Amino acid sequence: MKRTFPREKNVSDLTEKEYVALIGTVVGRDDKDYSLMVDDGTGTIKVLAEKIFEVGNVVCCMGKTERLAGIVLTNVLIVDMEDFDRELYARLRAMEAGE
Amino acid sequence: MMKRFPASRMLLEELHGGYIMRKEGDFEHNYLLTSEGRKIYRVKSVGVLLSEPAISEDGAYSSVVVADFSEAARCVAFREEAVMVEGLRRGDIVQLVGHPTEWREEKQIALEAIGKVPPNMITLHRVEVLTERRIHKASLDDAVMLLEETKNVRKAREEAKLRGMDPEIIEIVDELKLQKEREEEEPLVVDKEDFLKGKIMDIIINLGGDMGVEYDTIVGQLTDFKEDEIDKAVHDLLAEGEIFEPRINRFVRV
Repeated sequence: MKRTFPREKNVSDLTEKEYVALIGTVVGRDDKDYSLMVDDGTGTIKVLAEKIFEVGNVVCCMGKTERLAGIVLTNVLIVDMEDFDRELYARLRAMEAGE
Repeated sequence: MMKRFPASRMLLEELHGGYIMRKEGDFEHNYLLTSEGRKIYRVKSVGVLLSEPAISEDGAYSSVVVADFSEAARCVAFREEAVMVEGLRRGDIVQLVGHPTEWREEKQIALEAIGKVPPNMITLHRVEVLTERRIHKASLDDAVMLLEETKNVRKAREEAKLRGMDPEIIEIVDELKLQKEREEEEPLVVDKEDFLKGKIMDIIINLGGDMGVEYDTIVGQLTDFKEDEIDKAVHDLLAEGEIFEPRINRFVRV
């Protein structure tokens, strides 16, 4: 049976109805509608979260993209990426892309 | 005594894209032959738990689904080892070691160990995989050329020894070629039950949100199937830990 899994993507490459994973920094939060703004260096996306994180935290968000007012991430599993080295991770992704 | 092989770091896409090679002798291990020609007896991988650990009522079996963003895999543990997933939670970043295996045509990992690791292990793991694959590719390319030159596995092995290469790589190239030929020859057989389960998962993923999908909606969408077939497939998916039932007759993907 085909298994679904989140594919790693940049915010700038997202389209609707994808199951994706992205790593970024929380740059905004809205406690009223329980959402975060997450920036991965290529763009910013609204994430409808089940748990709210502090601005400045690095998080990994896995969820489904939907088009509401722009692309948003829903049904999200958020992982706290405390002490994650984003610079090293960006270098790794560049190396992988060059393969 | 059986030889104990070191664990090789790999991405989960290599598990699903490879071949499980079953050995008949008592002292021979099964292994995974990846599409890039890596021979992996024991897997080491890092990923995120996509579901809460599922443990059978009698505690004899447990499983978790791990994703590393290249793919996802079910990881299983049996008997006294089933308790190793206790304490883990959905969203944990884990490193695991286990044997590649296959159950009902689904490639899985039989766990030897699993534990939480810090987020930077994701990067470290992938750098090590990349390095290992690059080194392996160089020797594989040499082996392919040598086999093309000699057109004979035995001669290529002898020549490989003379050139200071590992002669086993010649057999790997030959085995990989054979597996790919077999795969092309074998017609694609789609199991009806698996097909139905896939359809149900699609409905739950596409129509369900956090609230999930009603059983009647699933039945209404699958007019080509009998209700008892759908009922059985839903129960199988529940038992396999793919979906759960937060409320009676409402199903959500794990």
